[in-house]
Amino acid sequence: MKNGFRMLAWVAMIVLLCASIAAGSESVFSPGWRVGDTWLVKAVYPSPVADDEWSAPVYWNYRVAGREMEGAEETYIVDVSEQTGRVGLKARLFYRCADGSLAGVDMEKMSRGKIIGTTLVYEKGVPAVSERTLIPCDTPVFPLEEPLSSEYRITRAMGGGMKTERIVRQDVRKVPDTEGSSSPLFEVRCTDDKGSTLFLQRWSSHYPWPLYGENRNMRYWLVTE
Amino acid sequence: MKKYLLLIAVAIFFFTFLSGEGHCEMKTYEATYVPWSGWWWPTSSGGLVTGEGYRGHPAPLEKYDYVMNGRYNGPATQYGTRRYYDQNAESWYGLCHCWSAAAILEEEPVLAGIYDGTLFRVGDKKGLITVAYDGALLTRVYDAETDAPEVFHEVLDDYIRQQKKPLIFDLGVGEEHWNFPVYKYDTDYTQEGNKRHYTVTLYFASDGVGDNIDFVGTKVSSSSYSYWLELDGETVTGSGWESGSIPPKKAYEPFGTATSINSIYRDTPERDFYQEVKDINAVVGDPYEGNDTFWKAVPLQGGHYFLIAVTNDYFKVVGLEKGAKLYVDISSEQDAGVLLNVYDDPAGDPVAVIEISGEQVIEVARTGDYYLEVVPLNPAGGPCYELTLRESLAYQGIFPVDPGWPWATGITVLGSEDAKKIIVAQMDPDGQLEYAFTSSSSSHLVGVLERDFGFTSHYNGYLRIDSDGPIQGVQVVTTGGDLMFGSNLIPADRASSEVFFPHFTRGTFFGAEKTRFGLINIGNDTEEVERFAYDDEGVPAGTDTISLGPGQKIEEDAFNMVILGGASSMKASAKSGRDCLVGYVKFDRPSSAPGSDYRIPRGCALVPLPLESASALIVSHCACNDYWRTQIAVMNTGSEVTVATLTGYDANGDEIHVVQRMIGANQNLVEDVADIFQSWDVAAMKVESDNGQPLCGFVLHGSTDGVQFSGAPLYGVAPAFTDLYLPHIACLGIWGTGIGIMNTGAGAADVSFSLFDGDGNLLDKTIRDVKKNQRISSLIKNLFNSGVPQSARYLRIESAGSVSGMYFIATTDNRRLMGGGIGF
Repeated sequence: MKNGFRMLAWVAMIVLLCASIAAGSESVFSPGWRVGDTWLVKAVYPSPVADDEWSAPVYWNYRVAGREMEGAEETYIVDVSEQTGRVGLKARLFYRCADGSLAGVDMEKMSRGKIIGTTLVYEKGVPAVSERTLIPCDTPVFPLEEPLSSEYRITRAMGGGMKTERIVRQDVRKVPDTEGSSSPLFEVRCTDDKGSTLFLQRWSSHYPWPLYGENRNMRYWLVTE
Repeated sequence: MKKYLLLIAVAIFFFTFLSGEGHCEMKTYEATYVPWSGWWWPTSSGGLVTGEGYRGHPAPLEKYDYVMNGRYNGPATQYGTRRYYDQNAESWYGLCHCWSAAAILEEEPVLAGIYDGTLFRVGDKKGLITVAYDGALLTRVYDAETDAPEVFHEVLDDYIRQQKKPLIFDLGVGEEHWNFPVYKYDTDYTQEGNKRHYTVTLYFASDGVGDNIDFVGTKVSSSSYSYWLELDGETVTGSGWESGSIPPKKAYEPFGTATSINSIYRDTPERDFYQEVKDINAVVGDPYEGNDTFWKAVPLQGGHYFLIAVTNDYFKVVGLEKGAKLYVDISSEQDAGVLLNVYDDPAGDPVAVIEISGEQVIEVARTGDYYLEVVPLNPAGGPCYELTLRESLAYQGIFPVDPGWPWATGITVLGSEDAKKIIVAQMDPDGQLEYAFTSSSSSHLVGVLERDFGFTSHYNGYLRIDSDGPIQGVQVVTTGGDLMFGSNLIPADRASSEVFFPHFTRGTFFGAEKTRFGLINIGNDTEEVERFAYDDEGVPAGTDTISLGPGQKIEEDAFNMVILGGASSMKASAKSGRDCLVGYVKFDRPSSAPGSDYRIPRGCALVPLPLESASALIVSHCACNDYWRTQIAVMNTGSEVTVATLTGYDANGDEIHVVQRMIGANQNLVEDVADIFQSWDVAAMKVESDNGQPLCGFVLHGSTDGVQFSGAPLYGVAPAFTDLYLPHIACLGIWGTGIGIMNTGAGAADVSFSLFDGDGNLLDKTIRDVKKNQRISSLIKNLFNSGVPQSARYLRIESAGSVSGMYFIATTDNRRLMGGGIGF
């Protein structure tokens, strides 16, 4: 990130529609972080050959390491490392302080005894899907307002001077917290233009990270005890 | 004409350009490195635990368990049997996804290595790292079920063209998954209006190495796909597969592994299968790498070595004496052979050149060091080979058992003054030397195999002792619990063409006394051995023939030997007539002690064979009371019936009982001494044939509850001027050693007892006046006024007359006991 984000895939975004479908919502949520905050996330990953078989759990430590200016934007820096150190992957996540959106990911993974660095860049104002990393970092567009449905057009470069566009829809609703407090949870679901879920998260206003999330590559839970 | 052709070509070009039709030049993109080929370990054959399709047992996970968990069938193998082996699994089911991830993220194992004494070939290493990637952490970057061809296009562009990283593609069809690491692709397209018709060829490392799982490198396979993209300016607005292409199912980026087999270490979370496999795989070559010149020749003791010839290997055998024999056996894989040159002088020509497997004998013609030069005939990959070295000295002996874990075996070897060198060789049941230990520092060698000689636990082999002087010895085998047995060293010159087994029991139910027979061919030739069973009248009851290779040992439960049905004694005879057989008979006696488990033997007794054959046999110690039983087993090995006179003596040597028994040819006499004489007063006895028929036999001493149990061979009347040694005495801590010595001479005689330390220094001496036929029964510590010094190691018994004796080693808690004859 010091050298600027290397454009990997995401190149442009246009907000197509941002319409509140229902009026009179009382609840609005954005996570609030302070430097020094830490949390632990448990994640499992699907087997490539067996349906319903998942990996052993992998635990990721998140730590808000600081706030820095990235270009013209101030960002939270969140360092993520695997708890045992046996999975050779760590990352630094950059979140825009202004709106809580994911700006980018610097990843380092071990391959053949060497550290391989990769940078993923995300544009402002669109949902970010943790597609090419093990580290849970799905990020909806904040604040979460219930009920709210929004659509976003995301453009992606694909080499040869070509690009693709897709429409991503973000729906927010409140659901009861079946395991915890009496306060309802914010459930946010992002779907593509075919209706397939890109990611789903359930947030509690008491925690800095979703209590639960899933996308096609992982399921993850905030470890609260 | 040329002008017209040029004009036509230019016209076609402009027409094509202007109309949007055309063909793009094919481009090739490649990752910065190429993944390696490896086996996909199909579940239906379970090669990781069965070795099927590879090299049999030990399979890769068994080897891992052996070096990491101390046994072949350890937790990893058990886990692998459950997870990686199912004969009924779908034929395509296996570990291709694990191998693919490993082939991308891990360096290729390219050379075999010996880790902690175990050979891990390239296939073993690749198999283990593949298991470590069961639990590979992957992100799916393309899925044909949900993603259109433009995603496939974009993934290749991003990963291979831009990032230059390989990634995994599942190229399976239908329900089958076939994952491969893709590292290169060709792409070109033709333009047709606003459509581009792409043809892409993926290149990937193949798993087609089933014919050589040790394969090193990459076998490349490829697969082509066709699709079209419709464009509105730069934006893709439509896409589809075409020309019959069945698209890849999925693509993944591998990140690492949450190794599933680590669940076996749930209770020891500090252990990590992945890291342990990395440690194994990091070992390249054998432990002696660097021995690539005569000057760097590594000294080797006798033993069986797994080695790898990355380059020429050099070894030396130190301090060979002229006249000794060096047995060398070298073998390697057929496709990667080695040549062995043997030198007595590095500057000279080899004294032997060995190209074929099979034991070769080098006659040592010059005292000094001998050098071995191993030359790989095809050095690529580093051929593995096995080298067996065995030095044969002038005197040999056999300890007939080496039962392995959970037994611990201790030995004592006492050499004569001429014995400067003692070699202890651990032989497997096939007669292959596994390990050897050489002592050149003492003529009294004592130690426990694993602890003191560095041997590993082997199942049911034996020990061969070589020395340059006469030797005697004792071995003691114990579990550390109630069980103990042992044997005297059997001198090789006592090997016989005929071995008699005067008595056995065929336990037919749990808890019954059982007998095991051991037979070893210590000769250099394969022997056809006929076994003759005799009933209790000495009538032949059955016969069979077995084959014993050089050095081979068999041990059989009498219950399982068909010819022994209805029999009560047996003879084994080498058809060749060569004196090559030694053996033993071992009894497992159940306990009748209250609360004991009848299925577990509580007493074991072993008698080394062959037995001495004489017309008069001495039982120098009888113990008959409400605690001890003494049982004799005597066989008439002659051709005529004999009347045997059994004479009982009291402790003072007075003849107190005489009875007679008729024993036919090949018939045995098995009876308790107390029953023979109807008396508990007998301290020693003699069994004598009235017509000079050869007799042989042994005596079993045991407590009535079956816990203490021992056996000893019977000897004939010794010649005058007897000089006997007890090579080992145990008198420290819980241990005690007792002896029973009988004066078998014609009159009274002085018998001296001398204690020595391990260096042969006399520590104490006592002399007893012993009457004719008198028996001295005593703990050794009670023989000497000042007890037994801690440094005492062996006992010498001398007499101008004739004495015969036996010894007992026991624990003071009356649980463990073994015995043997003093002498052989």
